[in-house]
Amino acid sequence: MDCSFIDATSKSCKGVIAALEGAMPAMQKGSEVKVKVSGIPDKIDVYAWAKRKGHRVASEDKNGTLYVLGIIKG
Amino acid sequence: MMLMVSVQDLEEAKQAVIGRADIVDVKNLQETLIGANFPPVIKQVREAFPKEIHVSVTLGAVPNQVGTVALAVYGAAMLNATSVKVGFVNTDYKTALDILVESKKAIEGTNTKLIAATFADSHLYGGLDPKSVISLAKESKSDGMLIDTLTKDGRNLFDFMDENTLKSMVDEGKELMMSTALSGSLKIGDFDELVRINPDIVGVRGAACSDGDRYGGKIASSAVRRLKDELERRISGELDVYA
Repeated sequence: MDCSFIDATSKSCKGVIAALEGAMPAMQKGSEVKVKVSGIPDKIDVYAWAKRKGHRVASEDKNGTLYVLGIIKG
Repeated sequence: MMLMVSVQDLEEAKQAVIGRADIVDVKNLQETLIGANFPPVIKQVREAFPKEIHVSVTLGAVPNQVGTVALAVYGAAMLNATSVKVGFVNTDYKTALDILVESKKAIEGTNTKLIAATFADSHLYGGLDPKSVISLAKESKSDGMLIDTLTKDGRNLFDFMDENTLKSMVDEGKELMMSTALSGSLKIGDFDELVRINPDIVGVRGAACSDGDRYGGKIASSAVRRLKDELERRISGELDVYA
């Protein structure tokens, strides 16, 4: 399975979503992108965005206040 | 998530900033429940703090007069407000859109952001559907949206709109790259829901007053600090908002 990575820790919440939106067109259905975000608000935004767009958050790893979320393109 | 505290004068603004408010929202409770304050007050508050402290200006529920509102919005921009909020109650969709479009034109080239606002309890006043704020903001290219309440009788935002509805609106607003704000007699007891909804901004007044009284009370730094601390405890995960 293809997997790309986005470090969104320096981005605002809108920047996180914009980065994911930007990455999706080049991805094939079923492939995964991992995104690193800097806290709970960004994590909540990513879950909400994935649900609205028909993608799936398949994994969540926590490291201190950082989260790495694995999103499968729907 | 930023904490916005509604203030009526410079002294209240200072208390809000000492208590670590991110935004001071200048309004005038004597002029309807959510009216606009006077330019000298707004100027005084803006000049008292660095740009990092956002100073927003509330115009309240505006009249159905496109030019009048656009000029007021322009005035807020000339006072270097970080944002200016234009609220609609008894306004039809088209007029509200015209007002926002002209208001946006009026502040072109300034750093002031235009925020479209509706009221969750608008139906009690025969007003505009609060959910229309998203399309109004989108069509007018406003920078953000706010949902507030007009009723100040102890009921709050969640008495008029449920968490799922608000969450869906906030998510849609964020997807459109708007700033999203929720307000309306919010208290610490609402913070779990608010963090789950995750707007960019949470607005308070009564809960930031020394005695919890939005009219008789005054903004107290200790109350603001407590609100900020409680919000941060939830955002950091110290308190689980899903528990």
